[in-house]
Amino acid sequence: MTVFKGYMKITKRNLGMVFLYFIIFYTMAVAMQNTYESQELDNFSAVKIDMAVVDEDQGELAQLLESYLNEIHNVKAYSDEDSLQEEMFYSNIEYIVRIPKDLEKKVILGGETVTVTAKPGSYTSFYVDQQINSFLNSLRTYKAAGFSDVEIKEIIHSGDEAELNLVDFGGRGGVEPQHSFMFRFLPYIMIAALSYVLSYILSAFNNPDTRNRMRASAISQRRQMLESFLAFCVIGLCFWCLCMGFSVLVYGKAFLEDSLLVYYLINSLVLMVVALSIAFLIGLLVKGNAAINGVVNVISLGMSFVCGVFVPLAALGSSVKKIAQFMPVYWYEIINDMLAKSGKLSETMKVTIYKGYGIQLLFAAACICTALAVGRLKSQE
Amino acid sequence: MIKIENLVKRYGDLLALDHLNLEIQEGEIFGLLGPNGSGKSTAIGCMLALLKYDKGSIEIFGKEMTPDSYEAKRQIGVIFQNVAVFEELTVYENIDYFCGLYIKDKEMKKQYVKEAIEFVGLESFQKIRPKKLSGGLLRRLNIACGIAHKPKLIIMDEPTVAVDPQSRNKILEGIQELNRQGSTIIYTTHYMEEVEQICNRIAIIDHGRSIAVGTKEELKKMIKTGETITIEGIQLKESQISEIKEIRHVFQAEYEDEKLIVRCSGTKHNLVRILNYMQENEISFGQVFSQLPTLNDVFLEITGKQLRD
Repeated sequence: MTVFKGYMKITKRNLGMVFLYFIIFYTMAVAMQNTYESQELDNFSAVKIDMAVVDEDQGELAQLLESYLNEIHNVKAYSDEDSLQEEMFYSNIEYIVRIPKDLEKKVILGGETVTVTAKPGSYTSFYVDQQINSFLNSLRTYKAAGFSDVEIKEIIHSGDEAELNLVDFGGRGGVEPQHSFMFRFLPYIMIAALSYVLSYILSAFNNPDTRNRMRASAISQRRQMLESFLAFCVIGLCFWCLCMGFSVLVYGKAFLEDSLLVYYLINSLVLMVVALSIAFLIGLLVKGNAAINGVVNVISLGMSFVCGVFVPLAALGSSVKKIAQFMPVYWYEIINDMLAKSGKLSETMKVTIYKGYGIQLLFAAACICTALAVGRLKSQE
Repeated sequence: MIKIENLVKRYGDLLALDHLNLEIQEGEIFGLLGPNGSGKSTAIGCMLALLKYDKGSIEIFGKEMTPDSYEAKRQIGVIFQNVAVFEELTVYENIDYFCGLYIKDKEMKKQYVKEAIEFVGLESFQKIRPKKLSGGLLRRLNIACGIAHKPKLIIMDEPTVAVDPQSRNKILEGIQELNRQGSTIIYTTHYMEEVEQICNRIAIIDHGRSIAVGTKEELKKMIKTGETITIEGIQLKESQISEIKEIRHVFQAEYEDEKLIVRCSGTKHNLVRILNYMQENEISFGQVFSQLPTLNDVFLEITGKQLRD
């Protein structure tokens, strides 16, 4: 096991670099996870705006509209109409609704709409427009059905609300587990860190003179190759354990008790094999530390951007996805997304997952075969 | 110990080895001498089964050498021109690693590594990484990695290229010591002085062919030149050069930039005869050198070009 031990010794000397990359990439992953989470919350928060209502009608329906707006926004009182323009100029209010006299005749039955003044450039005013139109349409419907103003008021105040039953097909209540974010960023960590470290080590073994010295030795090339493979697997497994151990530390019980943990683990293990095969190929093909750096950056960042690591799969365009389908990370992310959104798996989902594992492994096999063919060609030079 | 017959190796259209024939006996320091690109390294690559050849045969220890001849490889040590060690490992670890490719027994390996370190004089540098070693020490490490497993046959491919004279002498002494300890050595170089200093037999290679094989004395006897006399700071007429060529045993006289080079076939009284001619014709001159034939002369006479062209 001389070759295997050689790999281990050289890896030991590069442990500092391994940990450095691990810490850098993990910090980046956690930072990106936090950014992503906070952005998501912002997108769906309800916004209340400050507004004023000028009621020239003073009827039942006008009061209903005003009280409706007061429920969902902050309707501010005003002393006189002239001061409203000033309030809007100083951004104290963003929206003014003017309910005309004869609301019922002009707006409800006549088809006109209320007059509004919105602060220029305010996107929220579009939502208020929609809310007012929707409310007025409701009033028109009730009126058309023959309800009196008093009856309409009673109905609206009765608070009858439509009952909504949310069916949770995924089983996670629409909430993705936090560790799914870590798994989403794992391809970048795995491919970048493993490729950097292993390519450096492999390039040391592939120095033409060192290679010739080893080829001239009493250990067969097949055995040397097998010991190299074994060393790669051990190094990859140790790195995988490090990632998973860190995840246990960060996410704790939620991670360990995830019913789909096994699928996550298998997916990340398969990804590790892919990362090892890429590292193997780079180490054989690329010469020089600077070149290795460049190639690893292009591959790890390229795959991460195109295959849904940095940008969610749902946000990727169809043409990007078509290209991404040829890369293993895309299939890894497909599986990861499925596991993140589901608490239990249907048979169809399982088939998709196994297909994803298979495609990733095929990619790894293709990389290894290419590397072996290149190695053979090189040895015949 | 080694028998190479009609070895042909092509790189595309380039004929690197052209029916090369060599026979190396056990216990020899056998020199492969030739200019850069003459096919020395290719011949070694074929001997070690690192390169496939197109025609011919190579026998080492009485058996045909193939990539799977691991028993033969176990008894061969190789030292390449470029230093082939791992930057991440220390001096000790490097020697231990390469020795481990041949020796399985831990205790024996430990002992061999210790002896190799002592042999090349790297005792004080065992825990140092190659990056911190000087060029000469690095070469010694390279040698230690190739000989630690005590091979019967050691193949050295220009191990003294870019080495300072002191380290070079140390390396050459080491090679002779290895030979005394029982190893057969194949030593390739384009430095004829090294070959003359340490090799028992020499093969001169040019364009992939062995153009002359023998001891250095045998090789020198193969050529016409017995002595080369160089006279500097001399002014001669064409007629005088022709007269010098007529002097007994002189077979060649070249005159250029006030420098006369005269080649003579015998070894006795040539200088006296030429100096007498100068005196008789009242020709003044500066310095005079007389040199017995070198391997460069052998190469020059056989191929028509300098060894280092």
